[in-house]
Amino acid sequence: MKFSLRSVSQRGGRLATISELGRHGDKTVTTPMCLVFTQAGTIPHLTNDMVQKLGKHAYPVHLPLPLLLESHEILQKYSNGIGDFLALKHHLLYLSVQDSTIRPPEGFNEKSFVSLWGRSGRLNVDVDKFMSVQEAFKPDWYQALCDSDAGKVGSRKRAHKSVERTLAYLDRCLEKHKESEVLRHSCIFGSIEGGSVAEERELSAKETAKRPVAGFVLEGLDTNGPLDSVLPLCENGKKEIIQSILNELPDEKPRILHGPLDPANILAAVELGIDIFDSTYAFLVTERNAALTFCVSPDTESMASNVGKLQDSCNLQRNLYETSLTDKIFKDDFRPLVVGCQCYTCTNHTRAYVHHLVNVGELLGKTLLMLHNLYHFLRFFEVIQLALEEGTFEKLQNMIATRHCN
Amino acid sequence: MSAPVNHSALTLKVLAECSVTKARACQLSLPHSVVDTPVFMPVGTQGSLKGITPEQLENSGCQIMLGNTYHLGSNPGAELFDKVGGLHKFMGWKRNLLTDSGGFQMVSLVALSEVTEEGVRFSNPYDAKDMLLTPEKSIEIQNSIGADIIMQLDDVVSSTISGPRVEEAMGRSIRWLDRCIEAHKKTKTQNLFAIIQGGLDSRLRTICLNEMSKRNVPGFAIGGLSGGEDKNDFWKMVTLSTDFLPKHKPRYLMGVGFPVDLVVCSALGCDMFDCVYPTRTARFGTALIPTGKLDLKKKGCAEDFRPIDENCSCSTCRQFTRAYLHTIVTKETVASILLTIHNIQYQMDLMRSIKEAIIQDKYPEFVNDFMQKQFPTRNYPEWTVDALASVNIKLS
Repeated sequence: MKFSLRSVSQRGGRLATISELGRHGDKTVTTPMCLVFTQAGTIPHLTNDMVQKLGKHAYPVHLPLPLLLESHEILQKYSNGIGDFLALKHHLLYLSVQDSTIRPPEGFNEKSFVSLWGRSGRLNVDVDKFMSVQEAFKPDWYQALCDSDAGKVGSRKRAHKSVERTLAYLDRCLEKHKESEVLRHSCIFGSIEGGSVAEERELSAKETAKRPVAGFVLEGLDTNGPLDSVLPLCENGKKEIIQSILNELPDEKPRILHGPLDPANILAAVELGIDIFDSTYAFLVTERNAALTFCVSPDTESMASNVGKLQDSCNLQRNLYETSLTDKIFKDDFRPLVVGCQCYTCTNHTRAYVHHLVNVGELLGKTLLMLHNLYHFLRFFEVIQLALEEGTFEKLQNMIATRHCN
Repeated sequence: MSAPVNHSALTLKVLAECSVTKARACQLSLPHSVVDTPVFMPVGTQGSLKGITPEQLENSGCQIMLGNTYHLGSNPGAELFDKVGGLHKFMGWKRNLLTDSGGFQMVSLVALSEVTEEGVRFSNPYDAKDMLLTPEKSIEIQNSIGADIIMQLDDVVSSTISGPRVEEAMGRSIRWLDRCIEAHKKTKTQNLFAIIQGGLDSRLRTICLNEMSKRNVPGFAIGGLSGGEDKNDFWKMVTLSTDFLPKHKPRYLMGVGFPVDLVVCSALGCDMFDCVYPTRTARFGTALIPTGKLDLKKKGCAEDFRPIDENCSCSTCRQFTRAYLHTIVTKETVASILLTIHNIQYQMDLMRSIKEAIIQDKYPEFVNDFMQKQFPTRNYPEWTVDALASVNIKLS
């Protein structure tokens, strides 16, 4: 892959192009971008024909390893790789170590292995097993094995361990990666650890930056799910930690931050210099039967001129990003979820129908919500890119803050 | 071949009749689209087919599906359908719909129900509310839902019951049919079908057939079967009914069924079927295949890199292996959707091949071929042998 930084705005937000992607090395994506989160290899509630309706922005797919680990032996026998197995081979596949919708219990990582929680419980994964999985799965991108357990806040000892171990894992992964014929076209990402201890974070960033990795994943920042437990980045000095990490990282490699970050957090992270996120936020909103209804521009005019037009697409609860479809007020509301939204759900169905489906527990309700929420969330990233291009990023931040933050 | 009969909302054109059995292939014209029969109608109880979008259902070739009046009458309720203009609009389904009367669900799902001449009364002990479903009320709700075919409210008794209750129910069903006909407001856009009752008693069935066929309804259903009765009794009631029912009107066998049932009962002269089986079994991880069933939860599927069915053209079989499905079945919602898509396609393909065999006048060969695949050791269930023999098919 080839990462080209197109611009860095004054306040830090970056626009970039990543090219030479995919099996034939001919695909391109632009950042800031969103990886489409999957669960056990499926985009939740969506069959592939539905995913196709999301268009080209649904190209990069996020595969968390824990629920896929049980398929290791099968994939070895299958031999065509996980893209083929999941019928997602025309997508960019990124394999992360953990599942960012949950917080794994602390204290289960040891020196030589990391604990992953699969369906049947805890699995201990050491570097050998981990790399064997990568060779069987053959992803396009993968995050090297890492220990993101930083212990109690402020605990220096455990934070240091997470840094040390992660670097050791990375070095061994890189060794095996280099020797592997099968992984020749895959890219390996290094993880920045260190909990909330500034010095450890700097150490991790400096050292990881020295390794020949394709990009970086910022771990252990408490941005994992569930939804309401993700605190604003502006609190607890997280912004400062991220800043200190990014100061040590090279400009010309992408940075990934996982977890269900809400729009304000996404914008804060983009401003600091993060390039890639995942769609766990859109997924978790779906799981509580809500639709994303926060304001995004329905067309490509500049944000400022559109603020007036956005009135109708914003919903009743103007201070939130989402609207719960369980609310009885939608029983006979025959408008689309978001007026002006061009997604399959909004162009074919109504609030009343989706309300009915979630009310009686029909699976189609989740399908229609997931489709809209992903569409809406991916659209948000388009809007972020546009705002960075036009220099209206601050306006976008203000709009989100005034219309949607409590 | 009989001339097409025109009811304002329904036309049946018999395209071919099997020269050996009572099977026929027809074209059923309904307000929303044409339906090829014999037809299997999948059941989308609450206004959706369990995770499948209307577009996906259309792509499978499905031309008519069911909704349940009892469920839809409660949620979202008849008033909402009046506001939106019917279930078609509400769910975005452009083809045909059929609704049942709500009676069967009331009796089977609701613990404390009581049938009187007035209707079915339900007393909820928890909120002390009394609900009464009369023939008039059922038709009223079905008129609001707006399905192309609606069913009379009938007095259903379990097919395992015998005695005077069966006769009482049969008699009442005739009287309720008349009340339904009287109450039906939308004869130009909705077709009211009668439902033949009479349990497993041929005398009672004959009386019912006699009486109900005097009424000018666009179609007839054979009801009160597929409720756990002995299959040896079941088929006899089916064939008795199709012997008697007018040829120029569609025959709908309610609640049937498994693939074998569809093949045999088509030979007995039935045109329309419905059953929750294919969609329900999909959600439990079972796929329908020509040789019977495939349980994707079984360990044997874990390393099986073939599709469910190599000859199936559904999107599930075109993309995925049994091994992949095994990893997600009953665990991820997408598995449910993928198997439902396959099972629906299986049913559509089955009915299409039944129809084609009838048109080519090769139905006996088709039946033999089908049965041999399902029962490779030739251990055919007794009822299938007898039923098919009654229409001149000898299973080899």
